[in-house]
Amino acid sequence: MSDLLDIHDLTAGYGQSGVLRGISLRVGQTEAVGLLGPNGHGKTTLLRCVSNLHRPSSGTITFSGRDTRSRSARDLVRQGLVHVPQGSRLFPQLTVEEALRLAGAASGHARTWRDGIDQVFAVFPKLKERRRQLTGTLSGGERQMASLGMGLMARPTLLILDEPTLGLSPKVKHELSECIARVRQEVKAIILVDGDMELVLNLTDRYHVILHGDVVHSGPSDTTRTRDEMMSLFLGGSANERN
Amino acid sequence: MSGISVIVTSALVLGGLYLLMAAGLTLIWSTLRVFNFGHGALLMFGSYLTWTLLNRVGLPLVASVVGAVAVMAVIGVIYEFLLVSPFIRRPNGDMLVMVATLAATMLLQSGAQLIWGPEIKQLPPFGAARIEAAGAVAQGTQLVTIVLAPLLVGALALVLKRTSVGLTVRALEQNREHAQLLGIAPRRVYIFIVVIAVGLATVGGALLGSMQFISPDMGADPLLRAFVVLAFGGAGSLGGTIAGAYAIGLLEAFTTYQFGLSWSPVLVFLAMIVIMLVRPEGLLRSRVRSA
Repeated sequence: MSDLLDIHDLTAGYGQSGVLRGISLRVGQTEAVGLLGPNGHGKTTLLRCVSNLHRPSSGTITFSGRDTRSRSARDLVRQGLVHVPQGSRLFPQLTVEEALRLAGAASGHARTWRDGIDQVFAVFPKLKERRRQLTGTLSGGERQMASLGMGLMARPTLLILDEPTLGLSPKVKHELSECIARVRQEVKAIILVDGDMELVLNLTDRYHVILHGDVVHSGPSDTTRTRDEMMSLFLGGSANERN
Repeated sequence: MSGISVIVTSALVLGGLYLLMAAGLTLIWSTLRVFNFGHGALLMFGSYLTWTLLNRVGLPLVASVVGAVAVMAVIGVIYEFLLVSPFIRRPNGDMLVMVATLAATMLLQSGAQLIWGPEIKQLPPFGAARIEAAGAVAQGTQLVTIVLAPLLVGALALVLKRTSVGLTVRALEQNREHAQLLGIAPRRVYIFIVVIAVGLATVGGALLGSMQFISPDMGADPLLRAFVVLAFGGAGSLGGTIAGAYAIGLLEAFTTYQFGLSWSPVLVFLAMIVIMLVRPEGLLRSRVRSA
């Protein structure tokens, strides 16, 4: 079976400064892939290229066997490629329910948004309590849940999560990681970017480490050896030293 | 007593006219983040078109206005295609669009001069209804303006609040990038907004063209007042714009009555400067919405 997403030899940047340097990466049909690496090395730019928010200077991105560059961000969403952006303020003056309805309608599910909303409330019970609240008044964790919920409303086949736990307390982070695990059940494939390495390794099948705009290290997410390797790569020491 | 009612009547008429202008400008500002300098010229063009449909095509007055709105809607789409979409996504795109709309003003003004010639035109009054209350008289076009302007803009506010199109517009106002990621196509929303805004300006143009003469530069003054309204009400909020339009109308009516026509523009702008100093976010807004 061919891959769901195939990124080949992609370069991209802003003005004169190159951010991605010929990066290649694949996501299988039913795979959860984690992207790790320090800030400012191209993870978010890569995701923005995938969902057509940023134009790469060269290289190809194929989603479901078709080149994404000829398609608008809107078409990609409607074909199941859904990007939950990093640290979004959401829509401060819309209620949680309005935002979810909007996400359903904008992705071509205007008639069935009620079913979608029930599914989202099953994954995020907290959003159901907050349904009448303006998204601008939500806490950081709730805002992330709403953002993920809006992603789910589009019925994605590939869900891209960019730093879902950024700036959250450990307790809220834990709660959210349980939510992401539930989201994983609803969606065929996921790309997860997060600063919390443990969380990424726990929730994904495979990981890539991105440094200076290219993949420098890849592997399965499940072994302890992986974690030790990762630790030394990031911190120049082992996991034991860190703890 | 009659002084107050004269001022109130005049304020409702002026406020209504400014509202028709400013509501569209606010919508364009809040979604596209540009000030449409061409809005006054579009009002003028709508006024001339109404005149042509009435006097050359021979339609009844109301049908002429509706026809002019329809034609102007098409011009609005062209406007978006030529002036907004080629520039808006470039670096500094909002600046380019604003300069383009300035250029459009000159183009439309010269175009009107070429098409309709130099002689001054006017539309007949809209109906002969006449209401007299407490010594003040409102009749014909004035009366229509008093009723129609809040009705149209109220309907627009309701559409934005209640319908899914309105939800889409509000989402784009509040977070353009995330809205795109949800699958909203900004282009469609921009076209919708420009058409609505141009339609409202055309109605304003027809009403104004019946109360004063139609000339190529007739839109300059309403544009300037609408700009003050936006500053007053806080650009981007329709509620603030409604309040702002009537506040400026009242201020202008009062100063004209009290100090004379030559003083009122000075005092209106003075009021704007004071408000910008004291409440730069607008009178009604509690905080500035970031882009």
